[in-house]
Amino acid sequence: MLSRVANSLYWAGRYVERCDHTSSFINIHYFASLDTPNKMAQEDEFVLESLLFIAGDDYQGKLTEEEVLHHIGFDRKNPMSIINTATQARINAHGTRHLISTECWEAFNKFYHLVNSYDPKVFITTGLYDLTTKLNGACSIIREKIIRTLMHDEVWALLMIGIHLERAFQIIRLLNTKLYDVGKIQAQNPGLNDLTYEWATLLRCAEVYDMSKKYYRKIPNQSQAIEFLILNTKNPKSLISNIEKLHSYIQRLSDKSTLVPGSIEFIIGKFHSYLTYLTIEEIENDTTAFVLNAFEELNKIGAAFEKDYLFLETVEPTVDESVSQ
Amino acid sequence: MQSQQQGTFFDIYKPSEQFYDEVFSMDGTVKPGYQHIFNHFKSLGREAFLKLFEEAKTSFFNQGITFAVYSDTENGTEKIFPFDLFPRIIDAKEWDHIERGVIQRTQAINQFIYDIYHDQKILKDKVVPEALIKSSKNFQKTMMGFEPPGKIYCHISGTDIIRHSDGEYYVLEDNLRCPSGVSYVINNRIALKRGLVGVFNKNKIHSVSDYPEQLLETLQSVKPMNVDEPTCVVFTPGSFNSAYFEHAFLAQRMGIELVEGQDLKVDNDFVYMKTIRGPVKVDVIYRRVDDDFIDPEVFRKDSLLGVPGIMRAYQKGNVTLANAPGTGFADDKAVYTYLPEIIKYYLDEEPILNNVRTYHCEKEDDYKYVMDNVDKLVVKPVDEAGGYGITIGNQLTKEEVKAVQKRITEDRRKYIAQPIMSLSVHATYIEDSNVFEPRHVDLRTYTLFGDDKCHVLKGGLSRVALKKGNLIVNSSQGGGSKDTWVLRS
Repeated sequence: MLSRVANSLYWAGRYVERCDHTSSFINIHYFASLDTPNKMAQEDEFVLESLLFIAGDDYQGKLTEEEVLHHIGFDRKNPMSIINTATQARINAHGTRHLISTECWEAFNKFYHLVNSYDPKVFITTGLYDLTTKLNGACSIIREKIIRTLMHDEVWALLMIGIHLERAFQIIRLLNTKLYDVGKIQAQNPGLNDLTYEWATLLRCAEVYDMSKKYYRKIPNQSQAIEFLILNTKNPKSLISNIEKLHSYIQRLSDKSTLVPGSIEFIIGKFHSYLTYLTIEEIENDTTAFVLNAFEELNKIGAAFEKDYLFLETVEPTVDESVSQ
Repeated sequence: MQSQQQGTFFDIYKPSEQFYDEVFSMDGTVKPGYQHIFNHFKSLGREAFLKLFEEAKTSFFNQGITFAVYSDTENGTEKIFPFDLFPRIIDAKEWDHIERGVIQRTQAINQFIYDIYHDQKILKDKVVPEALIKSSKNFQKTMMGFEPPGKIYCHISGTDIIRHSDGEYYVLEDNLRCPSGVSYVINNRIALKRGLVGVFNKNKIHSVSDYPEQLLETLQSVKPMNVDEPTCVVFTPGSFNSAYFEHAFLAQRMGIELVEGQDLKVDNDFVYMKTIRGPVKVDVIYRRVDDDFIDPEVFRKDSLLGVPGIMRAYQKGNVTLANAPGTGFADDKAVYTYLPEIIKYYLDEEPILNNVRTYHCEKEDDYKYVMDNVDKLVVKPVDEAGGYGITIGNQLTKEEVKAVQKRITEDRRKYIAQPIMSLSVHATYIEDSNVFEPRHVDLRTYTLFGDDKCHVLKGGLSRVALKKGNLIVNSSQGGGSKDTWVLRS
């Protein structure tokens, strides 16, 4: 497969997953904040800052609901906005449409048009739930088409690598956001220990709340929430599950018979082993340090993957070099 | 006359007296072949038809068969290429005539190109003026003496045909470089099959879905020497190109890679594509990039999307380019006018398809005639594609006539003129009036020419000028398309 096309497949997967997470997060986080038992967490400013923490870039605008939602949803100057991630997902899928199935391409295309044809004014006033719910559905359809309508070969593996690496990033980003929120609440309310609602919201944002309740047979506390999100191998959204999947997809692509230090196979295998033997107690010794380390490891994985498989030299066209006959 | 809301779509349809109507006779009766589809549309209520129309549009939209509206690039507005649900139907006998005609042209043109790049007998015998060829910007000196595999230059060609008011078919032009539009033929058929199930069962229609397989076989048949199983690719300028949908569509349907210039490199006069497993040799390239841009070492040096050295590899016989570079001089609109003589010269046959009478502005007598009759002629630049630069005499103001005369005088070689041909009309659904109205149509056929066969796609693209009275059918000029049904005998 062409390296350029491999790059497009990988980024198509990453962008669709990013868009899905942003949509889920703002949907669940926003509506959960409306009746949170914690007064501070109900305040507009707190909620909006929290939304920006995960879904926006370096936002300099006013902290009003309409402006923040516009920035996250439809600001074309924000590379992380929903419209931009959906556009990038489609552009990358477009470059691979000769390799992906018709069904898969149509799913990407419909997903893009869903966002592009949505009225931004409706989104910032009454359409937040409507659009983000529809987007989650559209992203699910894309993933379903990837799994069901593509050969489970390199094309599929590259899309899945993009999806799972992005998902791993988003899980850590979610945890980081919640630690930031909880830190602020505790700073204002010293002695406040019952933050179950906040941790439940975290699990809801990752769409694993119901699973976690079944697993622990009660509403998880802080330790359990973090453990479930990071270390639980039966939770398909956990960090370790995503690293495990990444490891297996990389192995499908790999033609190396021995492990070379510094290679993607080596780095990912090492991080997987680290997570396998990590305990929640070790994480909780310094959760912030763990989060920072996880970000660093994921960045290393991304960089090694691009170095080993996607090395590209790109040129930007200056003229249209074909006259249509 | 019933109101448009109560009556059928055809109540106000008036068969033209001036033009050949493909669907209706002068007395208003439906022509053979069209009866089933006409009855079907008549029996459909407006609501059902409009639902069908919307579904077809949605299908095109979801497949991404769209173009960007450049005035609104910020918001990424896209539109589908207009598509009409009423297919153009060609019976077996007429199709046989067309098919034999385009095969004859393709074979003659191929021999013509070979001759021009070798002995130039046709020039020496003064059948075609030498100056006409040598002054063509599409004549590539670098191709002189080179023999492509199977001596084939035009592996894929598109022939634009119209039916005049006399009921005869005429060729308007040959497209020998990168003819586009075949993806619409296939997708139009898919859309119609979904929507007109009952009608398809009642007509015996040739399939168009095997075109990608036929194209792949054609490409494989012209592989370089000493290659058993050739690796074929489609070479696109990139996703910004207006025909990118087609490039990707064909690559996907053939199951081969879609490459850009940056994906290819030439090493030791062989072409390789850069893959995640290292370089892979490429044997046959279906290139949708114009000559000027394919190799900055030989053609335009500012081309960023070409592949340096690809012409070296080609001329060493290590890779095949389809179509061959340098075919463009033969689809020059001035050379077109000599096609009847070219056919007779190489094949010793009378042309099966008519050519339109053409005036060469560089000839003194023709120039004088054209200058005196601009208002009665279609004036065309010889080297433009996509309908650009064409003027239709009876639609010009006096000032515009003067401007055309001035342009011709300034560059006589650049212009030819033809009588205003009366393109036939076909019933076409017009959204604004919500009824079927007659609109002008042409037909583009697609011919594949491989080492061992010549295959004409039994269908083709019927392009329709949606604006009332407009004769230019190109999509860039607001044209749409129709599915074309070729009936089995």
